[in-house]
Amino acid sequence: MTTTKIQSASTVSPAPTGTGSRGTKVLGGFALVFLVIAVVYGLFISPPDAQLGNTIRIIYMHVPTVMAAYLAFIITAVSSGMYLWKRTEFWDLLGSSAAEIGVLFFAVTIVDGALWGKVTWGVFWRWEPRLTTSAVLLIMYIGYLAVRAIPADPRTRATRCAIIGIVAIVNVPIVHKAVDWWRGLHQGKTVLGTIDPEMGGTQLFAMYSSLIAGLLVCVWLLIHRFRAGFLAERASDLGLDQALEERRLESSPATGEDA
Amino acid sequence: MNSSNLTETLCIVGAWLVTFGAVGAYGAAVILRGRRLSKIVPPEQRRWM
Amino acid sequence: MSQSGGVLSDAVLVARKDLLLERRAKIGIGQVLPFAILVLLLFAFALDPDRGILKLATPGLFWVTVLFSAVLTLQRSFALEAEDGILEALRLSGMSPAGIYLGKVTALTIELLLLEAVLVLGVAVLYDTKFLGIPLLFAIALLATLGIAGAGAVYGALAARLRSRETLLPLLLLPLLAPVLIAATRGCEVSLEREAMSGWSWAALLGIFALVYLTLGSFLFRPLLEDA
Repeated sequence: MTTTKIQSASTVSPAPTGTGSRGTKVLGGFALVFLVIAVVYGLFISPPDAQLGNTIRIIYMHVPTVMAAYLAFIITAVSSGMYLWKRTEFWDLLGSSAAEIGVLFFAVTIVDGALWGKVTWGVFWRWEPRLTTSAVLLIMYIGYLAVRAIPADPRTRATRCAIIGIVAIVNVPIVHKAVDWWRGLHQGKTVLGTIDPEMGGTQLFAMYSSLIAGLLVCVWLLIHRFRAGFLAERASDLGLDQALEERRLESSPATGEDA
Repeated sequence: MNSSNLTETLCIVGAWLVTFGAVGAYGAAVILRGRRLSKIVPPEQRRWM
Repeated sequence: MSQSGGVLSDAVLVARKDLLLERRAKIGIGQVLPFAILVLLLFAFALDPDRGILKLATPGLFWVTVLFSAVLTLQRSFALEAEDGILEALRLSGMSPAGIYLGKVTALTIELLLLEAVLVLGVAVLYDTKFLGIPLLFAIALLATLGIAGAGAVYGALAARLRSRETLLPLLLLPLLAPVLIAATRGCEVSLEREAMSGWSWAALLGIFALVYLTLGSFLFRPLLEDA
């Protein structure tokens, strides 16, 4: 049918056949290099921490993922504001792509934090401020994605998402403060609060390389996700165009047969 | 190796596997989705903004 | 009415309209309030009152009940408007979006405060709670309710026209209100003399939350009414 025709056309053309480009390949290459360094140093070369022991190796994963998540949520917030101002598809797609990636990294952060807790406290979950905050924020952004998934006219959907994106980021410091005070009364060992300030050279190196790797991977994913989202919009436009065409043919059967 | 050491090792390896696994699986899904969509969308619209 | 008479007069107009509608329909008194009291009973069944857990947990249970009731009230308040196209009509009438928003918030705050007043009586009788630190309690109730209504009106309006609003609104709103639940609960515990921390810092946090959401909502209501 029509799709096969389009398919054959695409194989002839030099247009990209996926979401990759030279830029993403270079970026991905850098990310890969830092990931390898992070694995080698984080898991093998760096010594156990004086206070945390080997659990510092979980922190090497925990910190980059939480930073990547916050980066993504900041991008979502900025894009949401820009969307309400500029009203362009670019900001809408960027914001929603970043939100999805933020949720991914945040979910991973929480799992890593729980695994750290299992070693340190003997239980997966304690009402530790950072973990609790993360859990609340994660569900908040899952709400964003739920609204995003509701089919609607693009402008309507984008406005809804932009509003949630702004409201959610404003809530981040408030949740932080509330949870800090709430748990401040009975504070124990925390995931991020116990890192030795005089961390050794190889430990710092492992931490920084995994942090850089995490942020690079985040940006790399964002570019791919943005392009996939862009393609999905074009595909749904196409579906809409086809549906309109079919309806036009239905409404005027005589001309439809001729065409 | 006693059991607390075993838990520690499992949790550390688990954390790295979960991180790499989840992010890797998501990345693969996005790239595959992009390829699939690229076959549907006509080439003149396959330009990035 | 085609001329906008300023944000405040618009707000008063909308608030009066909402309260009048509520007084006629009596959904709050007839359905939401009985539901809230039912939740208080259910908590007592779940947490055996003889072991003292109920008494210890009273402030938390109270505010959880208020949150659930707030979701119901919001759903009701905005479903009405969405069904009859009132939000569109209000917007087309030339009223300022901020005025409409503040009016909805005012009406919701008044409704919820009345609900809380009855619930406090219910808690006092059913859970045998003795109230101390009355001024703090009043401040916390007012500020927490403003925050709930302020954030709730934004998401209530946003979800109103969606088919899945019944499930979506709690998913969006309850994580947002988590800090309000924490601050209101701890603040009430202070006023019941169960926490060491000063209750007024919790009240301040609630005040900041309310202020932030009222400001945000006043700005966001325009795109919300126009496009969402």
